[in-house]
Amino acid sequence: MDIKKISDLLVELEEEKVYDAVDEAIEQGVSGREILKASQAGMATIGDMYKREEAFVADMMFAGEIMRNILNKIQPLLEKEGGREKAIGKAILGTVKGDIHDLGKDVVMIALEGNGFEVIDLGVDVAPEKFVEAVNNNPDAKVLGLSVFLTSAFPSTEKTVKAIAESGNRDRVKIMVGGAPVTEVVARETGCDYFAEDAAAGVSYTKSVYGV
Amino acid sequence: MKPVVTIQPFNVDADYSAGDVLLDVIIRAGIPIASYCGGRGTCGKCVVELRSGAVEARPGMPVGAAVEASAGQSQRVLACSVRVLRNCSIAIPGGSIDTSLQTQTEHADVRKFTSANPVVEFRTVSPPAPDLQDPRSDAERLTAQLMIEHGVEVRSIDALVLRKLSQTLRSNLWNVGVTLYQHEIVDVGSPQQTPLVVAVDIGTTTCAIYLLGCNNGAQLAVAGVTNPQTPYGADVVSRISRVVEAPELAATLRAMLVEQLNAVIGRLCAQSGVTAERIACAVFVGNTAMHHLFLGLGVEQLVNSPYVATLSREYFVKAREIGLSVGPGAWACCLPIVAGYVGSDHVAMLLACGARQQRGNVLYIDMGTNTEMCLATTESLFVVSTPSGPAFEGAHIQLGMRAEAGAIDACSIDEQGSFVYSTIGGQKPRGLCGSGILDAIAAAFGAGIIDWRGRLQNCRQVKEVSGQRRLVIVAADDTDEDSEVFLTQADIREFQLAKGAISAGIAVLAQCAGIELHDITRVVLAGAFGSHIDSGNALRLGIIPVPQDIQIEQVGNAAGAGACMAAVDAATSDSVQAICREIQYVELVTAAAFKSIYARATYLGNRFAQRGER
Repeated sequence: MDIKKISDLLVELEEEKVYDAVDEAIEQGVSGREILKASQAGMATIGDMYKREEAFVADMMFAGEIMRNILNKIQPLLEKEGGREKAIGKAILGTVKGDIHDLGKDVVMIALEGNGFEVIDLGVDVAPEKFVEAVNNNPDAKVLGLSVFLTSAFPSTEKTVKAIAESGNRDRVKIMVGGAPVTEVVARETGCDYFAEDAAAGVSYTKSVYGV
Repeated sequence: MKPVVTIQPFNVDADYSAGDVLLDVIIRAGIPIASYCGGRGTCGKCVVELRSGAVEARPGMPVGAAVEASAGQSQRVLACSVRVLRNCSIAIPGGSIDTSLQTQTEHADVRKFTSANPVVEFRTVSPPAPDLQDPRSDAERLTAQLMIEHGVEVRSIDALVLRKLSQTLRSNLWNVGVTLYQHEIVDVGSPQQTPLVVAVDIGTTTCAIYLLGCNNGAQLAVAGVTNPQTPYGADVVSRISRVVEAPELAATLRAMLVEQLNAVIGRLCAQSGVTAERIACAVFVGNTAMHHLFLGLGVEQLVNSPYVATLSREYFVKAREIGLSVGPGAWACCLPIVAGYVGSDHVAMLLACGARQQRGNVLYIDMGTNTEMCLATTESLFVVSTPSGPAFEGAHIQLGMRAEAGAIDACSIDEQGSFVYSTIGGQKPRGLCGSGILDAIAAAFGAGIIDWRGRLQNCRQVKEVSGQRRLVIVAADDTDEDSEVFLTQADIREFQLAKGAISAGIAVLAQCAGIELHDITRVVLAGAFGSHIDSGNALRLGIIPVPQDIQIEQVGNAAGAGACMAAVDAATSDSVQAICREIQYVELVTAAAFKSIYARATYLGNRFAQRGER
């Protein structure tokens, strides 16, 4: 079979057909890494379409959901083949304390993963000390992404940045912030390094930090 | 020169201090300017024309929001995005006025809420006049006589009633009408002056106010008005955010609402030929945010996780303490709320629908900016609140509008592939209200103009204008303003997010209740929007992901009806407590599967139907 079918079906969000195609590929002895590569290519296409406003936010979510299911299917193969290829880099993401909106954060996560980054997702309503802990435990992560949707959670964003500074790791991570009410001014005043206007900007920034 | 902003066409001179946000100046002047986002510069509704004077862009607002265009002498600006520097003269175009005021009286169905056990009791009584042999106090004389004539036990007398008691007894020649509220005398007057009660449903957008007789529960008059707080944010979160940013606003918002309620109550009384003095009890329901703002409780913790209310139990307070102009000793009662996002309006809705009595997988939906839903199974009342956004109310939709004159409220596609539609008031179409948006998308989906992913297809009803695809519903020649009525691709996306939130919420409810979606036997749609939509289209689009043949009932403003019941019938108090006890609140955020369900739910059609059932 043509492995490209998997990425095409993923782009079309034909959930059942993608799974059928993945099953078929596995049966025919296609390697896990190749299936993964094809799926990631599909994710990247969706990401580009999203950037061009041809796909919308739910498409990203749904594609991410399908991607996760594909990964579950090919996990045993990948393990046999000695694991996944090394990620380009690592980013930590979370929605700040006092805010539970996860749509924006999830889109950034899916976009980063589609571009070959490993993402540590801390979830929503994440306390500053949780961010500090994650930064400590992941010395290889050079980017921290804060998501904030409520203006009432701006102070919590600032607290998070301060807590990381106090932990002594501020120089080790670049902090980007994004979310509907966030502006350049907010990013500056809360002490972040970068205002990610959209998911694509978040990806470009992360790439630039890793020099790729 | 006095600092004023002259506002046309109202011919109003509004005061300001240099640096005031123009929108606030306009709202303070009492002008019903449209502002759905609460002054964040995102909804683009508060456009005004600056004819003279000076303003400056407000820092921190979205780029480009302040000054839209400048043609000739006058500039168009968003009132929320500029600060007043010097005296200005502005004009507010028709499109920026919130004309929904007093349009939503559609739930003016006159109903009777009978009760064998009224909340407010009225007794006529003739205590013996005092003399030197019987010099008991007036209060003692009256209470003793109430026991003798009616077997009614009096435990207290309101302070204001006491002050006028002696005079009232004498001027009525010892034959008076006594109004009692839970063993307290709350009024004494002439025997003809039967008391009244009021029920109020405080919605984020609209308030419904009912004036009722206390004994037979007959509705004397009813009114629906815009919540005057609306310019401070169309949805709960943006309104509360304003208060969190400027805590002194809380008092202003409360005062605005109370003033509005007093004015409406006064008007309803005048219509019915009674005085507001006769109102002995007022029952209030509303979502948790409206409830808290109305009582002046703190709201910041409501929007921050873990969303804790200050108070959830039923709350009684003297009406005068919250500033209501009603009877002297009247009580105000706020029904209990369930959780941060499930308010007493939902409890009242379940009360009015008899949800506890009609078990067997019945789904109750109150659609709005937040949609509250309840799945009543034999086991429990599972309740969820889902942020469906204001799309169904016409906000965040380019040509969306409230249900007012000129709005397309229903439409379909005929055999030639053309849209046929009706408008409110029969006028030429200006935009679409919630039910019209739903119909248009359902029709286009059915005709293949929109695919299951919500994408507009290439066909003659679709065109591209400045990079944005749009579905043309009415051609420009068929409108008054010579501008076509359409839905953009972004509008359809907005609708999908709302649809997804409701549909996913229902799927999570079913999961929590341990039933399948096709086990749902009946669906009850409450609220203004739910009562006006084509329920078949709601099923076809998969907003309600249940089989197509299921029975759907549209019950109107059930929350208001529930408030009326609580104002009239004392027995409802137990039912309300029982409902609150039985409710199992399901927090969507913590529902493990919500995200994966939501990702599928935003697409059109019933995404949860079994393969082949779709």
